[in-house]
Amino acid sequence: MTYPEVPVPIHFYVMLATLLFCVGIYGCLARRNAIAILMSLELMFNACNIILVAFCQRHGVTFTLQSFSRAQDIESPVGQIYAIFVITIAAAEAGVGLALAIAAYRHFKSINMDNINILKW
Amino acid sequence: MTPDVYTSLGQYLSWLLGNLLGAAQPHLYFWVLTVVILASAIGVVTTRNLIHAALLLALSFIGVAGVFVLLNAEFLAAVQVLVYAGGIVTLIVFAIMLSERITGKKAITQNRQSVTALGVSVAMALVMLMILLYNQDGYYVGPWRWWITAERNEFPSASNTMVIGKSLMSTYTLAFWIASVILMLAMIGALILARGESRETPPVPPDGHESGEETE
Repeated sequence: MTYPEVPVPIHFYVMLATLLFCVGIYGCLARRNAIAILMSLELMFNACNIILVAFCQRHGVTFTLQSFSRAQDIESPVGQIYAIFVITIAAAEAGVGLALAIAAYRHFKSINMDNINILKW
Repeated sequence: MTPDVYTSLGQYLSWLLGNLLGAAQPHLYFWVLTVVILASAIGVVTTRNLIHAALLLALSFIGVAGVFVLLNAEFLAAVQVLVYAGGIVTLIVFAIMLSERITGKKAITQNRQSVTALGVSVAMALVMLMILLYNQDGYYVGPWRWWITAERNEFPSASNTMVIGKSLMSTYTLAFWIASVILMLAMIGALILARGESRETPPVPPDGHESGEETE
């Protein structure tokens, strides 16, 4: 016997993403290591992705997919496509950020963000 | 059976525990994934060993991939596992190993602003949850109260990957190209940044200058 499965309401996803984002903010503000700050940034990107996909799934628009000889009404995956671009930019950001961290380590002999203060006035 | 509107947290919990393997299966998966994601994320921002932080980050990414599966985004879940848990975590582990001595002393990883940062993040979470759970007249509109279970998708999201591929190649082609250009620029920039000291060495003073001063 199969039950009709009740989908999870979107509030739960938004609350999960909110908490994940705030954990990332705490990490960005409280960590000293540059690589740990980059990891917290990745957590915040993930929270944004959850929001995008959840709203796309629950409140998304539909469009008509015309595939060869039949047309079908499906949900538009625009939120997932946004999430794919977010993942792309996050990959680029991680590469550049880690290269910066390694360059800073080579220059300062540490990646402690408290020691890298040459931009302070 | 399933009521349409849950009026309290207790009612929701009793329904959840009653139909744990039946109608409430997505909820069971959601809560398990939530616990995994948030616990590993808190571990990422609080643990003192950076390698452990990177592995917990991979666990959190895999949990987010599970959330994507729960949201019928299978292609995105695969991309998440491949790119994040496969690529970015490997990159982070390499960077940690290049910059930290693994066997050395444990670095102090929290700075002096730790308490302030905790206050800021908790305040931000409270504000965002209040915006989510209360309407502009101050009434609670959270999920325990107005959650209507008839919130079901009418149209199938079948063949998700095909739809994403067609959209990327038709509607979002310009963004696709720009993203590829950004990736190439990031690769070149990372190479140049990480190549390190090439022409930064100061010019060598001419030979015999200082010794000549000494002899005089």
